[in-house]
Amino acid sequence: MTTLLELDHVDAWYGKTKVLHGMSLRVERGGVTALLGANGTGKTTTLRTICNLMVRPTGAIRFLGESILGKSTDNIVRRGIAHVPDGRGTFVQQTVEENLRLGAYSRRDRAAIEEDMERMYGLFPKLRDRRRQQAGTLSGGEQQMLAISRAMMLRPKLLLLDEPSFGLAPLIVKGIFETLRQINKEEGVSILLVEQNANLALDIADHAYLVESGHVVLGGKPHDMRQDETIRRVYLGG
Amino acid sequence: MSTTPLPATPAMLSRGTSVPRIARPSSPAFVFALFVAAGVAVMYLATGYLLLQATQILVFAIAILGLNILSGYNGQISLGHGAFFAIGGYATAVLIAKLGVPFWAAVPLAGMASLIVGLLIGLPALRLEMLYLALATFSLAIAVPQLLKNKFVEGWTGGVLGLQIPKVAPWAAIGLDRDQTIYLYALIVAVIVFAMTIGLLRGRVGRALEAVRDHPVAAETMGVDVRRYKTVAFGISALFTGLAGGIGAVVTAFVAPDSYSFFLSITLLVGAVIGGLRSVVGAFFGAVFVVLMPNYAEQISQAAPWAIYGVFLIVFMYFMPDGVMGVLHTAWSRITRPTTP
Amino acid sequence: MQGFLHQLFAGIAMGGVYACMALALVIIYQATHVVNFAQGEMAMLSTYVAWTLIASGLPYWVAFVLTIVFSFAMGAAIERLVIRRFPKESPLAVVIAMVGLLVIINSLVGLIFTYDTKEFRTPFVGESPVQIFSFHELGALAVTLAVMGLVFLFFRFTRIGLGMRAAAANPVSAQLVGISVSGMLSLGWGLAASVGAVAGVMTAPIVYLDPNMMLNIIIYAFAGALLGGISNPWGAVLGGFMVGIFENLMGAYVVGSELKLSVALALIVTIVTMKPEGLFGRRLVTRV
Repeated sequence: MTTLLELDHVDAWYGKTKVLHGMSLRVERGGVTALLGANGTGKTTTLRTICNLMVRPTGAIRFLGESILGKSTDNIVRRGIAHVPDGRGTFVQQTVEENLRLGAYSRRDRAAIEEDMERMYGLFPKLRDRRRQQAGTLSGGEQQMLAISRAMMLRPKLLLLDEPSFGLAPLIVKGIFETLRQINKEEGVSILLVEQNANLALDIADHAYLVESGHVVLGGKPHDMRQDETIRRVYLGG
Repeated sequence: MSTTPLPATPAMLSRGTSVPRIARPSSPAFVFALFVAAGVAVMYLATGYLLLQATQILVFAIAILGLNILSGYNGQISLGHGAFFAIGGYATAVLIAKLGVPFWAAVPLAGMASLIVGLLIGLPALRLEMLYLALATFSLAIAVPQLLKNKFVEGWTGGVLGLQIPKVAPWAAIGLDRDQTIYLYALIVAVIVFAMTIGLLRGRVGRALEAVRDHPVAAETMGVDVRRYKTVAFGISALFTGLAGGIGAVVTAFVAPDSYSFFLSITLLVGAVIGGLRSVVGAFFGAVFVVLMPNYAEQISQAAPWAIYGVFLIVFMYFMPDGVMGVLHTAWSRITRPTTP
Repeated sequence: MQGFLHQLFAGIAMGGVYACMALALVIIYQATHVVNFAQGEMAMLSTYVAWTLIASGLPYWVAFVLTIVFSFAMGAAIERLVIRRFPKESPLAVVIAMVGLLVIINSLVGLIFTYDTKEFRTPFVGESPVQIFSFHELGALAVTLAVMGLVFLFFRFTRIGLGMRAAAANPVSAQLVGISVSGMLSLGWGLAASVGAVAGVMTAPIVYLDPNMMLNIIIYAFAGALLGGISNPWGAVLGGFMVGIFENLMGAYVVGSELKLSVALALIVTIVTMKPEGLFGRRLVTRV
């Protein structure tokens, strides 16, 4: 079975407002899938819908072949889906180290948790320097590294990333995307990435979808997406 | 300023435009007159304990109306309205017992005292978040008996033992005995207070208050002095409950610190919640409940009325946040809804 | 001087009780954003349970532990059955429901145990090792400090404690790391109820056991929590001690013991109108 995550004609509501209209997509095992599109088209909502966070979904959502529609967020997370939300969702009052431990909250293998923490510090040395600092005092880039590390502490099968480049300097973003590539290739973690920066996303993705008005309007390999007229004009600047 | 997060149900007797003209019962004024007539009839038909209960119902109706004005129209909460009841009661007692003022004048004067305290509290209270106001009024409610017992004012308040109030002179000129006199007085005050409230709420003041409650920023920009309205509403809330306390003191013919315990404030709260926190008419039904229910419940046990109060508070807040009047109003709207062509 | 010291230390001992109750209030406030007006009655109920266990012949400390277990279950049950059903958008409804709970517990206890005052034994009988305190005052202080210390260690050094802190600080992110936030809420209520129970059991020998026992004490606890800052657990603890000392000294030297409650009331009103966030906290905002 190569399909890790599948959304099939999923609708979602915030209260009475319908935000997803028949969203369908697939994430293949071991791949990086990108969701492109303008602001407010439903990309963030899609990630939230997968985790059953703040929205009411209907339709079919399957992870590893099993339906996760309507299950509680913590249940979904414990199946191996780690979500790095927009805004990072850092526990700002807790220390860097506590944030990482929280990432591993649902795990019981203590030795492996310690190993993983070391690995995260290896990936992002800046975090080791700041391990006892309150997470809220970190810079934007560091917080993004922390958020990704925290998500990785779950040892997820699927990593959901919402706008990881947002508000960060290009050099830092480059470093982060390198790490994402590394995480995907070396650890086999599948990634579903929401990114406004289409170039960045298409560089790293194996497959991409263009989202408009709460559903997918275009999908394909990055190479093909780059050739598409609409994408070139609107998202790649000609 | 916090707005009460209850579903917005219009007060029973506001504009009345939601009920189609054809289906409306006889005009509210007529219904009101019926109630008054019934009230007078009760005075002649009921005697002894029944008359006393009827008087108590009127007293609590006025007191609960005070609380409703605060919570329904000001969107504020008071867990300690018994304090105003106490002010009214004690002021009345002091005026009658120590200064020889006739009861029918003492009560309004005591009401004024309560009004003044209400205005004084109302202004700073505006700035308080709901939870802080709840905490402060809760603490006040618990502290009231102790405050009343304190040594510094013992000369006036009679300390722990309280004050005896000389029995009132009946209005023999119109053929009433003492109990009937007190009842009639209570009825008159109730009529004035309820009529005044209903009248005000149906008019410009009512609309202003609703605007202040639901859209304070918009109201302010339209020239409504939000702070003045809210402070005055607080004062009126205190006035009504103070008047009720005064009449209550006359009924019992004495005041003592333990009569104004925390549980009195609970009783008022229960009455308000059951009738409907935003309902004028609800205050009356709430009063009927809190005066009559203990009669039956006490047969089960002494603690039963309180257990029932507690359960009702939780149940009503969960299922019927607008109280009985809210339920009736919704039901009435459903029955009289014009069928769509 | 001797008299002053005794009053001071008596205030510290009572302060330990107020600090415990204040801590319980703040734990619940942090977890569920509810001001638990029924906290005192819950503690009172636990104290009656302890009394019953002791009266049935169990050794004091066995009864103590069992009471804590009972209180934990009671707190968690109340959260699950009552609090959870009220949506966050109706804080007024929850406040009134808590008052309702207060009344229910108070009347049921009165029903079952009557309103007669009962004596509650203290395990600290005999000569006090430290002269300024009575033996019970010393013991109560030691126990309340120990309990608060354990709570501190729990929050700081255990996985679940960390989880609770995270769930309170950022419920959405907590869910995203696999924490069951609703489970943490029940846990918080259970923990708070247990801490309150300790306060109740330690205070009963001093104020005697009756259903209205905690009505005054909860006011002091509110004052302490507000003084320290209702969003800050350790500020609230400090506030509790400060209120204990202040109240006792005011009662002994200024207003007389009958007016001690008015001191608490004055304190509450002052804090609430002048500096609602207290000494160490942040402002409460009612979520509508």
